[in-house]
Amino acid sequence: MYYAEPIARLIEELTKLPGIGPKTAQRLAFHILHMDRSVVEGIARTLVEARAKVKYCSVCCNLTDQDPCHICADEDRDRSTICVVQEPRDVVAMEKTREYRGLYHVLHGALNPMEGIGIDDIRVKELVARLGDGQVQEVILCTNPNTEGETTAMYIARYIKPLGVKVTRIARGLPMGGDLEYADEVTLAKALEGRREI
Amino acid sequence: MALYNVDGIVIRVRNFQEADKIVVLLTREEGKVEAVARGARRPRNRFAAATQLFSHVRAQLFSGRSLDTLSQVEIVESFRQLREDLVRMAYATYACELIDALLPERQRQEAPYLLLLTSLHLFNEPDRAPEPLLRAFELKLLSMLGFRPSLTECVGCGAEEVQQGGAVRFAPVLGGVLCPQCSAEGEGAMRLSLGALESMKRLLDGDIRRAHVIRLSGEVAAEIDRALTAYILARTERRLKSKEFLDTLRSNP
Repeated sequence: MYYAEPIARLIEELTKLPGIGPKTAQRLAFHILHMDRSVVEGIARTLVEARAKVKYCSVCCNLTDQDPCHICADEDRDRSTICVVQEPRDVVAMEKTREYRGLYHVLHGALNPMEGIGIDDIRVKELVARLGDGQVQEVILCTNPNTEGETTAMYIARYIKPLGVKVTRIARGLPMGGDLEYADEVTLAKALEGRREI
Repeated sequence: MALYNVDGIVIRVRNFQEADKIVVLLTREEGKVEAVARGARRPRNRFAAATQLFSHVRAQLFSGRSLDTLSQVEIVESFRQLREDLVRMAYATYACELIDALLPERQRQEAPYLLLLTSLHLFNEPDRAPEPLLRAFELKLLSMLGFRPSLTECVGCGAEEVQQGGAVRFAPVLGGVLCPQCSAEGEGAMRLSLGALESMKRLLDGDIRRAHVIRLSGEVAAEIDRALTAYILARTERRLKSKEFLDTLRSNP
């Protein structure tokens, strides 16, 4: 034991965070020890509070402190469309576009047959339950454009199309500020497919 | 061998650290190789598109102490139709997982690579039935790796008379059919109809590019599925996760 017990324990706890190795944990621990006591207490309180107050929205499954979440509770939102995303941070990414005024549904993951992540491990049933009342006209599948995201989108489409809801997939194309030379053939083919008259 | 070039197929991808991926490539030159693709989870990364499952790529790798690193990569074929069809994708995913489970790393062997490449091209063609194709793939892969099932002679004593009451007994652990005398030895042996046996022989020795013409009726397909699943489980010693996914899709077409 090189460190006093409380310091050693702090270092050990910090290594539980993603991307934090033993060296980084050590640095953070000593930084914390040199910080003002009130600041440290503030951080500790915030951590506990955030963990205690944040829960899943009973409608869209997004993380929220009030149920239903502020998006689901907003009367001005278009209730006929649902945008399906993988993670809560994808909701933020979509909101930043300021183009979308409908509701969301957060799956909390994507299908991955090789890792054994199946349909019961993500929140598809909750999505299907939302489609029952006939208010929803369109479901926009905004899962990631990679193998897992595509699998998830295809699976959900197969599942909910028979319910008579319009199912769309977000478009794929070239990123802004990109370079045609470095685009892969799949993206380029998709971009060509979805071309528009200007 | 600091830098080396390979021709390979991405058979497995997993996330690594903050923004990297580890890809498992089945290569023509080096066999199964694991490599880190730095930053491949960032959208504009030059590796992002090439490091998707199934991609046939030409890559330059840098050999490191523990893990190799991807230094350049170019897509040869991305198998687009396959990616856009859930069922075909499930079949191909299982094929990749099976080859990953059965092959050790760095065993230089070109045949499994060529088999997988051919199979992916065939899965990619929308009018070919994927079921017989997968069965042919499994049987041929097992043969290449020294697990050729004995379908004509008794796996116990070599007798050629293996029929009993219009069917045969297939013993997954022993790896073949049993004659009536040896029948008692086959632990977990199962009944296989002559139709199913005949189809398996054709799939095992026929050209995989013609596998789709072999029609597997519901009953025969189910028998072959049971036999091969048990046989493969005896070799891999673990259940393949993508098989479950494939099974759920097959049961709700």
